Parts: sequence; structure tokens; C-alpha cells
Amino acid sequence: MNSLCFCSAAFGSWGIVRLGTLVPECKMLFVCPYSCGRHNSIGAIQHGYKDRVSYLFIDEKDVALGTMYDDIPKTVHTLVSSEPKPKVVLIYFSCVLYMSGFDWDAIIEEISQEYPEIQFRACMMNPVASETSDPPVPAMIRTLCSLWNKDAGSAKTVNLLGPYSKLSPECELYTVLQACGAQDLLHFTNAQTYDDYALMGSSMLNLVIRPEGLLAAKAWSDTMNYCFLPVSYNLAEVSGQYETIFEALGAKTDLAPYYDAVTTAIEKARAMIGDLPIAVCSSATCRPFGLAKALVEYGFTVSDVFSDGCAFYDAEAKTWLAERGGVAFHEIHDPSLVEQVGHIGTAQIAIGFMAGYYSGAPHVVNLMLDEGHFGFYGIIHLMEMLRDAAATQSSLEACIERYGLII
Amino acid sequence: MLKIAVYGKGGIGKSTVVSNVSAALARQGKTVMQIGCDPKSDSTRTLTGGKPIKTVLDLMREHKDSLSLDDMVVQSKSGVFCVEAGGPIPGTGCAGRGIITAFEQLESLHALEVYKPDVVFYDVLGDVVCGGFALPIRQGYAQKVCIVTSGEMMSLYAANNIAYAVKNFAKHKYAALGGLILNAKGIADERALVEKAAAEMETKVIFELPRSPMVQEAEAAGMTVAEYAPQSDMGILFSELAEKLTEAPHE
Ligand SMILES: Nc1ncnc2c1ncn2[C@@H]1O[C@H](COP(=O)(O)OP(=O)(O)O)[C@@H](O)[C@H]1O
Ligand SMILES: [Mg+2]
Repeated sequence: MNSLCFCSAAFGSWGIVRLGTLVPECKMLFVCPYSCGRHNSIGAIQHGYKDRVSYLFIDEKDVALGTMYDDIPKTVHTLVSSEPKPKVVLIYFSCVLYMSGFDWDAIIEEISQEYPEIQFRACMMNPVASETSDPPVPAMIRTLCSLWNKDAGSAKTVNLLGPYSKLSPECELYTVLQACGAQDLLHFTNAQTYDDYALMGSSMLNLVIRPEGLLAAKAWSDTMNYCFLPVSYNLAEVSGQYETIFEALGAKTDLAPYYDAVTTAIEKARAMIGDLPIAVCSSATCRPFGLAKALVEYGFTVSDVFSDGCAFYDAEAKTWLAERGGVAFHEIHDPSLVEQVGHIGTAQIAIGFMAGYYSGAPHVVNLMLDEGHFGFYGIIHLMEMLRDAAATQSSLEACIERYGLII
Repeated sequence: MLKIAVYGKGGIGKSTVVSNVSAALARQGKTVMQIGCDPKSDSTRTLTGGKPIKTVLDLMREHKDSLSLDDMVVQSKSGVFCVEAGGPIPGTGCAGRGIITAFEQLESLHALEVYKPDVVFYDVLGDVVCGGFALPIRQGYAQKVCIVTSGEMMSLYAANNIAYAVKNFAKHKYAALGGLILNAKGIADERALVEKAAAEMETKVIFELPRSPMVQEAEAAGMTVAEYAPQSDMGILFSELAEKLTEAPHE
């Protein structure tokens, strides 16, 4: 990105702050200027975790004088002495400190020695690193996983990495894993206590279903295998992903019983939607091109794809769509989109807020970040969501607000 | 892997000392890497025949996506692996941040794992001890910091500042102060002056180098003294210093 850019109102999602709330019995301390504090305290109110965040405000003087080296340990003392006592303290350093060469590792080590019973971690609020190999959100998830206990032994559980919420209980993955001898599919949100949370370190496999979890899985790969299987809505791909899981677990089960329900769901949705043009976007799924291709193959009409670049695992689908023609691709940061917001493309149904925002489609599928989806269930549920969306006129503004995208 | 950071005021002779020591160690068969951390980017110039090499930051500016270690690490005739961190375009950016970015780049390409040097020298400008220029002192980088100084006030002030940074961060397991290297300017009572300053910094003068025209003569030939005239008085001194710096005990 080296030119004028556009930022849409539907751009936000889970940031590194909200991610911190996934760790039970954890307090968060922000070392940042007032304005960053204001921003994330509004976010904390909207998402209901204001009681877990505290602030150490710094200004230009502190950065110039380096006074944080003394102030942080003092602040931490106050924080850990107040009830409820935390088991984990995440210290967020804003980008001014990141840029000025602040030595957060040294501070973390110092306070860790002082309070050996508490886990401290440095978290970087450094959006300037977005385009590097260590972007903030994947790096944050890696930090969260570093809190797992390495010496917790080995359990027959599988960790779900990438999504911020667990899969829908209706997803067949649970049953499939059980049939393959896995006891449970663990997600950050399962744990009620920090000790429970730390037990994720004893799982036998990290199942990464969105790219956000990749750095964490790689960091654990010495002691825990991982499979990277980004959520797909393509039937053949889903079967392939299960084969990969079977291989990783050294066991398999029959998938045949699942196909009928998928085909039925697709047929029902297609019968209702017919040729209504559909727009797809990267806020709904990590594979917008893959989703568009799958829909086209199922017989739907796809008019537009709104995306923020194209991931390596989505490139093949993009090429396929480009060769076939008929689908317009839009790069969401393109400033020329500004003029036409709400009128871009011809879609009547938008999958995702971003597609809804740009296209102005009267029907919006409120899928965000593939939430709850994987495998056959992902396809079935998406088809249901498409039918629901087609049946109702939606207010995009209300959707965006409800999801808490704007702070 | 022994990692030593050499600090000191600009122009005091850090690069001269480090390059000669690197070349002397390479002659003894050691694998040496020298990383220049000065936006002037002239740390390794006498090792590379007087020709400047591309800096890490230059290379990052030129090709953002396809950086290779081979472009950043240039092996000198004497065998030393030479790297220059570089700096932002003069008059812009932040030199300290530049050092951090360059180090991150080298790390992401696993420079030390690939070249496996026995000894790494960080040749660091010591006039500014900010978060960036202090990076080589931090945990995971140098184990030992040596400061090059003469008896002149300006260079002793700079030395004192660096010594302060090292001591201030001692509780964070930063590098330990390994002593002062006196690079004499020929002023009256120089040794005594520097000894006294060293005592105030709670350290020692570990070596003394006289001012010698041999340094310029070798430089004019595009070489270090260690290569140009290893058997000269100055050549012998540099190889003694090399021995002194790399001898035990070190962590
Ligand atoms: N012992 C010495 N005798 C003679 N000249 C020296 C000596 N040490 C350094 N110099 C000269 O001083 C100049 C600056 O040295 P340099 O190593 O580039 O300094 P720095 O790296 O500290 O900025 C060089 O041109 C070098 O020839
Ligand atoms: Mg120099």
C-alpha cells in the first residue's frame, strides 16, 4: 500500500485487546497515551470487559526521559495487590514505545522475578507492524498460547486455533474427532479458570482453521503438531481437510453420512435465491475467493468479491474466477471506492458486512470471520444464513453496531 | 559464540580497532562477523578494500520483499563477514529505530545461525545511548561491552555515558562492562587520566594503543594493519588486543 487508501466503516473486528479477554483470571494493563486509552476503554465498555483493564498513561516527556522503566513496576505492584488477584497480567505497550526501542522483555523479566506466582506477558499495540512477518493479531494469539503449560503432560485433546469463538455445537467436527479417538476440541473460551486454560498445552494437535492462529501453532510446533486448514465452503475441499485431520490423528471415520444434508441445504438455498447476484467479502471469511468459487460451482450467481489482498491459500480460486469471468474483484482500500460506497457492483445479497457496506445490497448475511463454521456444517449453516438473509431486509448499520465494529 | 559490543564517541577509532581485531582473529582461523551500527556505515570499509558495502537498511529500501542474507553479509578478503546496519535517509527517520529494524531483519533471516561466527563484533556509535543504540547491550546480544576512548574530555564523557547505561541495566542481565580500550591521542598524562576515569566508572583500562601513522598507511592501501603489516608494532598490538578480547572468562 503506497498510495491514497480508503478505510471502510466495516473494517474493524477483534483487536489484540479484546483477544486478551480470552484468558481467564487475567488483568490487562495499558501503557499508552490518553488517546489510545480512550479508544480502547470505549471498546472495553462496548464489549463488557471494562473491569479487567487498567492504564498507565504516558506522554511525550515519559518517552523522552524513559521514566516508564520505574513507573511500570510500581503500577504493576498496585495492580496485582488489588482484588481480584490475577493469575496473568498482560501489559500492552503502545506503538510509541515500540518505535522508541523500549525494552519490554527486560521489564517483564524484572516483574516476573518479583511475582513468580503470576504470569506476565508483553503485548504489542503496534499496527505499524501490520505488513511485517509478525503482525499484531497473530503475534497476540502466539502470546496467548505462550501461557499454556508446556509441562502439563499429554492429553487426547485437540486445540482449535484461529477463530475467536468456538465452533457451533452442531458442527460435525466434534463427532468426527471423537470417532478418531480425540477426547475434546478445546478453544480458549472453554476454560473458566487459568489452570484449565493452561491445560491446552497438553493437547496432541493444533487445528488452525484461520490464518490468525498460524504463528502460535508454529511457535508450538516443536512439541505439538499442527494442521493448517482454513475454513472452506467447498465440498471437495472440506473432504480433503478431513483426510488431513485423519492423517494427523492416525485414525479415520466414514464421512458419507454428512453429504446428503449438505446437498439438500445447497438445493434449498438455490431454489429460494435463484439468480440473485451475491457479493462476498474478506470480513466474512478468510477465503473470499474460495467461497465465491464454491458458490458458483453450486449454481449461484456471484457478482462481486471485496477483499483485502489475497491469501496464498486463496490464490488458486482467484485465478479460477478470473479465467471464468463474470465476477468483479474489488480491493477494499482502493480510494476510488469512496465515491460509490453503497452502490458498488450489482449484488442483491451480501455475505459479510464489508460486502454489505460497499454494495448496498438490501440483504446481508451477518457472517463475520467464519464464526462458528468449519467443515460440512459450515456449508449447511451458510446456506441457512443465505436463506434467512434473502427473507429479510437488513439494516447494515444495526448489524455493524451490534457486532461492535466501530469504536 | 562470543559477542562483543564496542562503543565510543564518533571518530575515536572504534571501527579501526574492531576491523583490525576482526582481521587478526580471522588470520588465526576464527570465523568473525562484524556488524557496523553507525548511520555513517563505514565500520567495515578497511576490511572491504575501502569500498562501501550495501547496508541492511539500503537493501530494505531497495527490495522490500525479496531480501537475501547474501546481499547483506559481505565476506572480506581476510574472511570477516561484514554487515552494515545503515541508517535512514540523512535528515529523516530515526537512526536508533533504524538499528532495531536492521537487527530485526538480520534475525528474521537467521544471520547468526547461518554464518555461525565464533566471534561477533557490534561496532556501535556511542554518542547517543537511546533505545536503539543500546540494543546491542541487551540480553541476547553482546555479553560484553568495551569502550574505546582517548584521554580527551569529550571521549571520556561519551565513555561515562555508555558505562552508565550498562550499569543502569545490569539488573536486566544486559551485557557486562568489559573495560576501556585507550586509543591514545598523545595528550599529556593520558594513561593516568583514563585510568582515573576508568576507576570512576568502576572498570579498568584493558589495553592501550598508541597513535601510529601505520594506521593511515594501511588505510590508504585499503586495508587493515592486520593485513597490511601484521608484523609491524601496530600489527602485533592489534593481534594482542584480539587475544585479550576473546580470552576467558566470559559467559
Ligand atoms: N591509533 C590510531 N593511530 C592513528 N590513527 C588512528 C588511530 N585510531 C584511529 N585513527 C584514525 O582515526 C580516524 C577515525 O577512526 P574510526 O575508526 O573511523 O573512528 P570511529 O569508528 O570511532 O568513528 C580514522 O581515519 C583512523 O585512521
Ligand atoms: Mg566507525
